[in-house]
Amino acid sequence: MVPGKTRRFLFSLASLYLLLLAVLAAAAPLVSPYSPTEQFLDRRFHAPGPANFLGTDNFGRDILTRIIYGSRSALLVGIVTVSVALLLGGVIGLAAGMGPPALDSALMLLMDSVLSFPTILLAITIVSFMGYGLVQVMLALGIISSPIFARLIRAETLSIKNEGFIEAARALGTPPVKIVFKHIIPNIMSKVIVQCSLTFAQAVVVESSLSFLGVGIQPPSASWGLMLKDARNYLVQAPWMAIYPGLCLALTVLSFNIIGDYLSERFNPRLGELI
Amino acid sequence: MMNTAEPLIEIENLRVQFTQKGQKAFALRGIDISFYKDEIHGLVGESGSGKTVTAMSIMGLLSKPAAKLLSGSIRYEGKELLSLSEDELRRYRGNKIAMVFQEPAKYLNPAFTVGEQIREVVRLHMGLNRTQADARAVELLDLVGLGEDGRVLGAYPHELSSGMKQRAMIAIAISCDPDFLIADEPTTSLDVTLQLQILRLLKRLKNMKRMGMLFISHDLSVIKEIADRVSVIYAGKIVESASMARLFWHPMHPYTRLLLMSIPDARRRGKRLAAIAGQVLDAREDPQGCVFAPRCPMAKERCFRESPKLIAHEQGHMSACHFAEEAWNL
Repeated sequence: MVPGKTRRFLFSLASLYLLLLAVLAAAAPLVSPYSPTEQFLDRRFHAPGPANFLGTDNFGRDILTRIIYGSRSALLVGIVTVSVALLLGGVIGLAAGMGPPALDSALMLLMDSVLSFPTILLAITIVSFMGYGLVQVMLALGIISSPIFARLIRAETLSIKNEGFIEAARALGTPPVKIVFKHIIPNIMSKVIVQCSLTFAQAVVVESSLSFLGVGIQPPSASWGLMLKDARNYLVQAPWMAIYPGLCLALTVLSFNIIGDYLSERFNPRLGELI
Repeated sequence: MMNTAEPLIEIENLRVQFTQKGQKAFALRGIDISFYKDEIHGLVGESGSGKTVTAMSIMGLLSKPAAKLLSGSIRYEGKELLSLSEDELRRYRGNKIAMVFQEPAKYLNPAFTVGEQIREVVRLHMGLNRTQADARAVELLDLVGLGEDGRVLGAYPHELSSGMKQRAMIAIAISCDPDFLIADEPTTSLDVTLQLQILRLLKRLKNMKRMGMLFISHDLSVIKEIADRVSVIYAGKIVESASMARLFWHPMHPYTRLLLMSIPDARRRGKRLAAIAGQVLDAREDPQGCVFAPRCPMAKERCFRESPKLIAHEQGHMSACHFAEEAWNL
C-alpha cells in the first residue's frame, strides 16, 4: 500500500522539522542568541519578548538558547541509543536466528527478561550503577532498547532464512557469512529502519524523563527534561518555561513516530512482492 | 543416444530418511542413477516421490538434522561428495554443480539487481575483479536472451516478467560454467508458451556448454521436449531408466506404462484418460517387496515378497520389475 497524500504531507513536514532541529543543534553556538548557562539575574521570569524570544527562566537564562542546546542532548542521545541498541540487538538477533535452537532459546530468554522490566525503572537502575550523566544515560538506553531489535531481527531472520533465494545462494556455494550480510541483512533493513525511528523517539522521551527525575543530564547542562523540571515550580508565574521545551519534545517525538509509520507503510509489502 | 563414457555423477543405493516429530519417513529408498556429460537426464515422478530430495542430495543441501543419510554414495568424476566437508562442498556448488529452481520469483534476492547477483557468484568462484565480472554479467545475459534489453542488468527482480526472471536465474546458475546443471521443475510455474522458450534455452545451453543436466519434472510431456534419457522415480526408487525413445515406445515398467497412458493425446480424443488406481505408498511404510506392487495391475505374489532390483536390459534400458518384458502389454 502506498501511503496517501495526507500521510506524505505529514511525512514531509516531520522530516522538515527534524532537519531544522538537526541543523540548529549542529550550529547551536552560531545561532543561539545567548550562552545556555549564562545567568541574567535582573531578567528572571521575563515573558517572551524582543530581547528573549521565548522568555527567560528562573535564573534569567534565555529559553530559546536552552532549547537549542537541549536539542543537542536529545538528538545525541537518540543517535547513540539507536546505534548501541542496533549493534547489540543486531548481533544477538542474528545469532539467535541463525544459530542452533538452544542458543536461540537462551538469548531470547535473556532478552525477554530485560523486556520484562519497565523502561524507566530499568534505566534508573542502570544509571544509578554507572553514575549520572549523558554518557551513562545513552549506554543505559542502548542496552534497554536492544531487546526490541534483537527480537525483531531474530524473527525477520527466521522468516527470511527459509526463503528460496537463501536456498539458491547456498546452492551457489555462498559462504554463510556472505549469506548473512548480502542476503539476510539487506532484506530485513526496511523493518529495522522503522524500528530505529520508533526507538529514537522513545530514547528522546526517556532521556527527558530521566533528566526530569534528576538522574539524567545534570544541571547546568541544557536538556528539555531538565528545563521541564525547573519549570515545574513556576507553572503559573512563567508558563513559557514549560510550554516551549514541552512543545519541542512533543513535536520531536511525534515527528519520529510519523516518519516510522510512513516508512513502515511504504516498505510493506516487501519490495520484492511489489510486482 | 547412449553414453558409454565414464559418468559425470554416479549415485548408488542412496537412502535418505526424514524424521519429523518422531515420525520417520523414507524419502529415498535406494536410488541408483548416473548422469553423463552433454546429456539431459529427465527425472519424472509424482510429487513426494523424491525428485527434489535427489537433487538436494547431489547439492549437499539436505536440511540436517531432519534428513538422515542411511546409506549410499554420490560420486562426482569419481570423487565421493558425501564425505566432503561443508567448505569443500561449497567449492562445488555454483561452480561445478549449479541449480535452477521452480519459482524464479522466490529464488532471486529482491534486494539486489540481476547484475549484482551474477557478479557476486562469478567473483566468488572465478575470482574476477569488478570490471571482468561486469563483462561476464553482460555476456551471460546475452546468452540467455536478455542481452538486447539493456535494462535487465540494472533491474531488480520485481521489475522483470516471470519468463525474464527464469532466464535471469538460469544466467546466474550457469555463470561459472558448471559441468552439471540441476533444473528442478524450471518451467512448472510458467505458462505454456514460456515453458517452450525456457526448454529451448536450456537445450541450447547444454549443447553449447556440453554440460550434463538433470531435468526434474512431474510432467512427462515436458520431459519429452527436452530429455535425452529419462528415469522414472516412484516412492523414492528409480523404477525405470532408458533413452527417451525407448521409454516412450517400449516401457519396461508397469508404472511407466500407466503414466504414458495418462498423458492426454489428440488421437485418443473423447476417451477417458487412464488413472492409476490406489494411492502412492505411504512414506512411513517400508515394504519388503516392490514399492509399486500395491497399485500394480500385474502384481503377483513374488512382487510383494521380493523387491526387484534395477536391472539393465538391452540398449542400456534399466527396469526394476520382475516382469519387465511383460509391462508394455499392459
